[in-house]
Amino acid sequence: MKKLKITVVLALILAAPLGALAQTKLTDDPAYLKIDEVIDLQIAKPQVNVNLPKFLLNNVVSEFDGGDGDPFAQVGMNISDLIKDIKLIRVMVIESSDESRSHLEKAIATLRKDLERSWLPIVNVPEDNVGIYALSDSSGEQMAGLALLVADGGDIVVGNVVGNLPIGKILKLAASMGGENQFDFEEIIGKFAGAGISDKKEKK
Amino acid sequence: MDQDLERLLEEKRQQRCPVEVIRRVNRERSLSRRHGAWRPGIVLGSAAALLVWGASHLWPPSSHHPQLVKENVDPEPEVLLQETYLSLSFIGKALLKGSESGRRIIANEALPPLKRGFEETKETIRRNL
Repeated sequence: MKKLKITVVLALILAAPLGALAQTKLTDDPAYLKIDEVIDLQIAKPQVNVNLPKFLLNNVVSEFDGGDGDPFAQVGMNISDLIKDIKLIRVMVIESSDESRSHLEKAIATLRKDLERSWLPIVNVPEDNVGIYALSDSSGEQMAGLALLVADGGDIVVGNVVGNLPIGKILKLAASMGGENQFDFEEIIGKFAGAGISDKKEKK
Repeated sequence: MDQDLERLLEEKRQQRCPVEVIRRVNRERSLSRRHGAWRPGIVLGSAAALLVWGASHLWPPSSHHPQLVKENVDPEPEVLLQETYLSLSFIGKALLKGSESGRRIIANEALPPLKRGFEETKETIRRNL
C-alpha cells in the first residue's frame, strides 16, 4: 500500500511539469485575445492585419536593430529593448460593409465582454469608443498583456500585445510620431498602406 | 576421515553469518527495494506526460485554430519592421488619447465645480467673520 502511494505521488510529480509545458502555447496565454476565434475573416475582411509572434519580432531585431532604416533608432529607441518581453503583437483594422456589419457588431460585443470580465480597464474614452485594457502576471507586479478595442459603428480597430509592454517607451514612441491623437480609420489604414501593409483592394 | 568430515560438518552447522554481514545485506536489500519503487513511478509519470502532451497536440480544445502567421508567410523584414513600428505607435497613440481625454474631463468637468465650491466656501467664511 505504501509502495503504491509512493508510486502514485511520483507519477504525479513527474507528470506535473510536462503538463505545464503543454500549456505554454501562445494561444493558451491568458493575455492572448481570441480575435481570430471571434472574427470570421471570410465575412469581415481586414484592411490591416498585423500578426507578429515572437520569432518574427526576433527576425526583425536580427535584421535591423539600430541599423539603416530602423524607425525606432531614428527616435532614439532600441527595438530589441522594446520588444524583449513581448510574445505577440496583433493589430487588426476592419471597416464594416453591409455584409459584415452585424457579424462585426457581435464580435465587438463578445470581445468587449471578455475584456470587461477578465482584464483591467486602464483607459476608457466613451465618446470615441476607445477602450484599453491591461492584464498583470500572477505576481501582480508585471504586465502580462495589453488589449485595445476601438469600435466606431461596425468599424473596428483591435490590438493585442501578449507580454510585458514598456508603456513609457510606447508613449514616447507615439509622441514622436506627431499629429493629432485621433482615431481616424482612414488615417490608420493610410499609414499602414504607405508601409505596404494595408490591403486597400479589400476595402469596401 | 569420516570423523573429520562429521566434525567439519558440525562446525559448519554451528557457524553463523557475522552480524556486520547480515546488517550490510539487509541494508542493501532495503536500498534496492527503495530504488525499485522509482521504476513504476517513472513509467506511470511518463505515460501520464505522454497522455497530456497527446491530448493537447492531437486533440486541441477548439475546432477553430487561430492562424498565427498566415498573413506573414514569407514576410519581408522591412515590412515586418514597419508593422512593428506602426502597431506599437498606434497603441501608444491610443494611450495618449486616453490620457488627454482624462485631462480634458478633469479640466472641463471636475475642476469648475470644485473651483466654484471653493469660492462659495471662501465667501461664506468671509461673511461670517
